[in-house]
Amino acid sequence: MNGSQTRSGSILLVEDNLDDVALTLRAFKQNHFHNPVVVANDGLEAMDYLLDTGPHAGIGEAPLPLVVLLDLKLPKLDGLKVLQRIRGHGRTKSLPVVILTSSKEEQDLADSYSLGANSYIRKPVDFAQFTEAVRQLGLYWLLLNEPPPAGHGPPQ
Amino acid sequence: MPPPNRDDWRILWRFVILAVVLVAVISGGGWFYFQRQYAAARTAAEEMLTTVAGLKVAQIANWMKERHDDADTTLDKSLAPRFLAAPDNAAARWRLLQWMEKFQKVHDYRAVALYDSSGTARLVVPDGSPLICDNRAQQIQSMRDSRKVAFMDLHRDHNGAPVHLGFLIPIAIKPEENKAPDGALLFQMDPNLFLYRVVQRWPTSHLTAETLLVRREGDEVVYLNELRHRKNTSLKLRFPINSTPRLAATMAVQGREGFVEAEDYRGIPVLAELRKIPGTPWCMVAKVDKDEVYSPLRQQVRTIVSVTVLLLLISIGGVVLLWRQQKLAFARRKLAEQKEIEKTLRASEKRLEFAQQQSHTGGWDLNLEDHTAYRSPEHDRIFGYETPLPHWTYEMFLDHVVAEDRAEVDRRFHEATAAKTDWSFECRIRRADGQLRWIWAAANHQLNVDGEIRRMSGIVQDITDRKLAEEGIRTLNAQLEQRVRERTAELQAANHELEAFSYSVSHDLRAPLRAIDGFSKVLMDDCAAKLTAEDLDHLQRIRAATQRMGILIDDLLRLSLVTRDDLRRETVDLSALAQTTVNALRHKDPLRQAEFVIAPGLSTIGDGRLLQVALDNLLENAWKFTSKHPIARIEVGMFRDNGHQAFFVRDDGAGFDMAHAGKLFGAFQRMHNQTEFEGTGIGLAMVRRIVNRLGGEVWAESAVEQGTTIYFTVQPNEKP
Repeated sequence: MNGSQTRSGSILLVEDNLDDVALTLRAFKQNHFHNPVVVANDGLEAMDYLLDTGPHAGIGEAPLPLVVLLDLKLPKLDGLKVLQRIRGHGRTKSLPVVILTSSKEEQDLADSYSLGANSYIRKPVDFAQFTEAVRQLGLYWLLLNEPPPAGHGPPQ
Repeated sequence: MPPPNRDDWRILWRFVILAVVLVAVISGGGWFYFQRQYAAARTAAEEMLTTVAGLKVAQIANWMKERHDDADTTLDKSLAPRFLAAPDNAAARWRLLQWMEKFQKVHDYRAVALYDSSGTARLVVPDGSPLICDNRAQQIQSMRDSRKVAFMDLHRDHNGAPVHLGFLIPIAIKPEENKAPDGALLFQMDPNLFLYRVVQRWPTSHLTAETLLVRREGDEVVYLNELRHRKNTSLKLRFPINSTPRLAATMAVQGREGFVEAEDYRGIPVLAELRKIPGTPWCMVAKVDKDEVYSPLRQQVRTIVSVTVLLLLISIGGVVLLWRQQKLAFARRKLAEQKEIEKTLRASEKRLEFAQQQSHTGGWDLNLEDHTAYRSPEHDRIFGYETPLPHWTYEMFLDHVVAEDRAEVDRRFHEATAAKTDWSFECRIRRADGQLRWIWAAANHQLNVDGEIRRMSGIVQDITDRKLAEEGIRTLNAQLEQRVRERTAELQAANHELEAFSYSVSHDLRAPLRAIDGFSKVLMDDCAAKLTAEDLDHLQRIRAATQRMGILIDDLLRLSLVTRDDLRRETVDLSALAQTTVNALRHKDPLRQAEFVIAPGLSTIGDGRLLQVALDNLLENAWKFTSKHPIARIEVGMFRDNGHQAFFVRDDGAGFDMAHAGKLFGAFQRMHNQTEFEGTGIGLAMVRRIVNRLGGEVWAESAVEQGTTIYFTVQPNEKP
């Protein structure tokens, strides 16, 4: 872990449904959150981003986001696997992860929390309700919540 | 009649002993009785003899005394001396004769005679009486004492002369001169006149009774009078004393007195009373034959003994006859019973044979001592012999067992025999006709007193059909199991598909809805200025529809959850579950005027989670449909009827028309429109699905504005 690592105040949104991406971004915008939002359309992409691996490796490690908004149903690498890897890697193991999904399955809830999710939010169908949920989410994770200190974690 | 058996002998013995005892008792009693009778008879005889003897002795003694006195008085008479002094004095002679005649007549003497000292009879009355006497002079001379009268005992003057007795009175002319008498007066008596008559007379009717007089002469006893049973005995019959100790007369003359048992002169046993007669040398014997005394008694004894013996014999005969008849009757009854039993047995055997034939079961009984075996006909038939074989052995059985099974069968047979345990096994046999059959054999042992196996009884059954059926069942079972495995796999696959489907519904169906709703909102927000009010209304309708669809999808997922989860069976406190729901409802709307009545202690067996869901739905419905009434009453309870029980949730809310109740429990079926009461119509469908899954049922009672009661049972037997 090098000490140059900084926090950008960004948000990593892991979501394959572009409609949901658009609506989520709109909700952020409507609620006047101007933090940069990085979108990953599948699990692998998300991991590549977080760990500077994959086709875009070598750019250098991007600053870790303030929070990861993670859908569960994802192509290639599903949400629970992504969560497992995040928690399994020294760099990201303390990263706040909020599960944002359509599923209300008990099994999903239980699995998410046991793998170390910090929060679990079910996306309502009603967009007004969704906007409200995103507002509260942003308010909490982006403003109220103190992120874990930088450099916290074992050396690589 | 069957030959006597042990019991008969025992009864006979008892009977004999009883008879012996009876005879002994009767004999003893009889003996005792007759002893007393004998004693009584003897006493009676003794009394009679004593009385008679006493009487006669007294009479004779009396008579003798009188005679003696007569003689004594004569001593003082002076007529005889006077005559002797002057024999020629006619006057003296005449006067003496006068007196003598008178004296002889008055006293009934046979003769009165006057002797002079030479023994010559000078005067005799009656005149000419035979006074033969050999030695009268000597007799007179021997009378030294002139004052003493001499008794002349019974005697004959010579052989052939009559017997007589008398007194000789000495006559002295000058008595004061103590010298031999000058003569003597003789008073001669005929014993027949008084003495013999008294002796011979017998006052009773006894035929053998008699009295007799005896006296002793030297070593002899002499009979003095004529006897009843023998003639010409007077002074002639005599016995030597030494050689006749048993003779009554001997005893008497030897000085014995009183009552004795002895023999008489005929040698016959007699009872006798012996007496001395005072003033005489005589003894009196009063006797009677024992025979006569005891003969009536003997007669009686004979009669009674004969009658008793006869009666005993008759009784014994009667009893024996009765016994034999009883025995015969018993034997006949036994025989009848035996026949009845045999009949029953034959019928039973027939039934058994039929049963054995029908069930292909044969019975056998192996005697291990002589190796013979009894078998029922079906036994041999099982081994392929239509006609029963003459004999059967274990080895023959073993020959029929197929070679593969033989060693095992033999081993188990010998193991069971050694351990003395019952055994059974199944094996294959080759029948006489070559057919291969399965049999089942079982046996138990009968031990003798030493604990050795003596016999073995068992059955053998042809179980080929069963074996084939078992084989069929095994095949069928295997097929069935295979099918179950396939079905289970299919079911598991279907379940997985369902889970995947639910997951997909949950995730994927909602995402488009959210997009529709979201972008509609975006349009409404961003283009509000460009759109007409009607456009905005359309967009709003799109949004409402999508949201409603979202709720429907959620309900559908809930409904599918009810059937997906595994079922639990536990004791469930329905009262507590209902209270939980009620608390939640009250929390949601604390201002509602509603009364909840939950019966305590409602409990059943079922899945607590599912029952909570069902109660949630029912109570939420009740809560919802009473919402338009100012006051509501909602009741949770149970009712019983005919031993069945059902739970219910009752409200006094809107209710519905029972005419439409048919679709009440269908999914997404509603009784009211959306404007009256919200809802998707999934609640009662879920309730029904839950209670059906638990094995219960659900039904409703309702009337418009009268409220609704939903009944449900949880277990099958709860249905009223």
